[in-house]
Amino acid sequence: MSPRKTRKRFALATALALALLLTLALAACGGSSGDGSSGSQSPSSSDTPVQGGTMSLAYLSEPSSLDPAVAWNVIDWQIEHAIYQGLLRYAPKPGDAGNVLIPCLATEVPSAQNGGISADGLTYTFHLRKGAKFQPPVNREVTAQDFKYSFERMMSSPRAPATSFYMGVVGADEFVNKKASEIAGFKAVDDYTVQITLKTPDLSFLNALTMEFCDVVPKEWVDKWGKQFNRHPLGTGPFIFEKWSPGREIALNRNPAYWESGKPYLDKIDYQLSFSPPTALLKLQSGEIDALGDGVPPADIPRVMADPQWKQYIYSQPLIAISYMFMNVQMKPFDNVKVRQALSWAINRDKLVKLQAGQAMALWQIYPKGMPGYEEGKVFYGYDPAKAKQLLADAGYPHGFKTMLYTDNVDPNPKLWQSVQADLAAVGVTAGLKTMSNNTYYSQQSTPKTLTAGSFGWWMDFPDPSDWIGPLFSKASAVPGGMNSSFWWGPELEAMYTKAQAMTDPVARIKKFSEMQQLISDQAPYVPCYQPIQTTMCSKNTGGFFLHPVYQIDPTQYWKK
Amino acid sequence: MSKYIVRRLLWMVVVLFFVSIITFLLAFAVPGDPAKSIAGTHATPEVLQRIRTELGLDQPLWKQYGLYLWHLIHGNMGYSYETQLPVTTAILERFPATVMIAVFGIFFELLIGIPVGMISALRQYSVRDRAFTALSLIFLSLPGFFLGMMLMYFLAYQVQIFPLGGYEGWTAPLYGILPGLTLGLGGAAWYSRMLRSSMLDILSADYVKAARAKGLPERTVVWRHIMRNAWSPIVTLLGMDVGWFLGGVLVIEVVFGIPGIGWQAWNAIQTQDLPLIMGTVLFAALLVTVSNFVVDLAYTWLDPRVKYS
Repeated sequence: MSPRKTRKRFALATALALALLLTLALAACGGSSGDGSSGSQSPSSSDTPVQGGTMSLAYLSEPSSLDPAVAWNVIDWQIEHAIYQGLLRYAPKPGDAGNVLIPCLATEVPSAQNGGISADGLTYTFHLRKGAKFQPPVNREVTAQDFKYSFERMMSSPRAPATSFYMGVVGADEFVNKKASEIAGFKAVDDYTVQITLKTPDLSFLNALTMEFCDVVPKEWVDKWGKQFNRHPLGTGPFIFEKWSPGREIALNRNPAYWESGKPYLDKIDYQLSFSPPTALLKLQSGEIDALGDGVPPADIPRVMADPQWKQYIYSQPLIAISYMFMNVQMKPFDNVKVRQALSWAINRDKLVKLQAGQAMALWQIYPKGMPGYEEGKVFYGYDPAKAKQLLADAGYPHGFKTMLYTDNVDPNPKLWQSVQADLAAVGVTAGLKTMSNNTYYSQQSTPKTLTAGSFGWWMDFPDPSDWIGPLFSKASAVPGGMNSSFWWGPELEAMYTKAQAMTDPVARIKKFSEMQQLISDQAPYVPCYQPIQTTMCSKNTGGFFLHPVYQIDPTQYWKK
Repeated sequence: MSKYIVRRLLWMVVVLFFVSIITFLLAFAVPGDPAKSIAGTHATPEVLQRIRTELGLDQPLWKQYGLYLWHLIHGNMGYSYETQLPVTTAILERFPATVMIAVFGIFFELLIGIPVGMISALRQYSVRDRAFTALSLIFLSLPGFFLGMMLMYFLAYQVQIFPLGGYEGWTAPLYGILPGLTLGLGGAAWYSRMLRSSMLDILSADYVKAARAKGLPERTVVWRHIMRNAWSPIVTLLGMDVGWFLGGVLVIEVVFGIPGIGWQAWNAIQTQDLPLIMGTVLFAALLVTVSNFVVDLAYTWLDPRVKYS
């Protein structure tokens, strides 16, 4: 999913953040300069969890839906993760350890070793945990049939945004095109065994299956609520949906019959909606809420970091997301690989990081840090304007050329792309800069031969590099409406990708993906620019707080001190 | 008079009809794809096509508009693309919060604006008048989000008198005070300036001199003779404010975390949620036309010389 749905709202919030900053300056409540060091990562990890209490989180936006088959915004998933569950989930740990799949409603993660994945890599077998029940009032044990029902319901939902992830399941095509009444490759073998057969081996299928789209839902409840199910969620998770006051609040209560003993710690989660990040920060500092769903407003980060009272409650992690400059290889002069390489040397990433007050890290690879396939310390193109000029001369543009750069109007993009514009000018490339509203931008960007070059952002769906290669660098995605904005693809990469997807050895497979980034970098269809950093804050009486690479904020793991 | 009312009501329908056409065309003129906004970036062309078909976006424009109008006449404003809720429900769910800040906003505008305007006019060029003039200029030029943040920081965070934003329904009116005050302080500046100048015009009128000359008490002069004639610009302003405030004041809603219809409309525009955009614009247009109509009728009561035929 692209970061736009969460980020667009910040355009307005930025103005508010500046207002808050001005207010604080006026208040002039005696500032100490502080050392500016980042907060410690685990002030409370040594504490023992406590049962009970309410945790309040503030968010700016409201979920569009809590139906796992269709919802895909960041806030939708964060709330769904407390209510619904699927076969697997990610380990509740910060950093790379959080990218590891662990069993949830299945008893183990299928692998070739435990026999869960067949020798040909096509058939996945999941054994279900006995005794896991749907929440009241359904109160019934979850069976393999429920998984089959939920999966087919999602695949047949006219609005399901993510069916493309699951078209590799045998019979999915026929089912989606209404030529079959069920998905033949998704079987409930008995009450406690789910078996899924794929057309071609694909290890990332386990990640795809772990997205909230495949959460299990009870048929009787869905039938009862019909179209309104999206506002009356019910699953097997640690929290039960209590109420949704439009625009104000979504409240969840602890599930007393939850299958995982001792969990969750909290009695209640209270998602407070419609609070802009600056207002949410004031609320957190006055003790009204416990975590900032949308993070600390960038303008306030230096101030809270310098505040000895608060800096230990600040948490940061690099988001597994990227910002690139795409160059449309269908358009001149970007059809010339030397030109693309030249521009790859020309952009000053450190300046882009500085312009964001350090809330980003310079990126020199195709994959962001945290994504398997990322190679620690590797730099494909550094910052070297002289080299860029040389390559431009080699390409037949000794005096540069004129072109256009495009970006959306979401803060901080216009500011950052002015910096890129200046970098290009320094190597002789005169680029105009045009900004558009983000909705317009996304549709223009996916129209062939329309935009020459510009900003491009991508946010992972799951921690597997196929989520980068497939949407951004494949032939299948270089179509109108696709996300391959540079419209570059190569037969060699296609072959490597197909081969990697068929590999069953996870280590060798990831190595293959690292090789792919070498091949892509040689062709330079995108210039990697930076990776955003997420910074948020929790209250003084929140226990066990950490940021998760996939779930980000995960109150199913926190407690109140 | 009844003829006049009928004519005005018919005109209202015409105005709303044109508003609906313009909004519809504008929403379509914006490049972008609502289907993509619904389904996100992973949607395949087939998924997008399926959504367009479901929403009727693959039909010609005139047909889509015709269908919209047909449903509208039957009282159906359609379903939000994003949440699939009926647009009427979506607007009505959010409307009470908007009404609350509108009521508080207008209350503070009048509470502050009218006395200040009267004092300024009756004591022209006094220290108080000059001070009020300066303050008016300050509040007129302060952006709402800045004033709102300041009020919240000092009156809710530093000194914890009011809640730090939010909306808890009509049973908790305390939540409406700071947003209302933010709207009201800016508005009061308008009202006081307007009232001051309209009163100053009247103060030198012969009938005021006559009233004073025949020895009427000052209170009677001010209320019966001056104010009665100075109300009209205030009522005009009030009519405009009612329509505007009830249409949702986005900035105030965002600063104070109030789930009103302004914010909802803004989100709808971001996601090209056409039925919700249409619904909110028409609703707001209806409020503006109705409040203008009420103002025009109020003139006849305020000033018997005004007659409509």
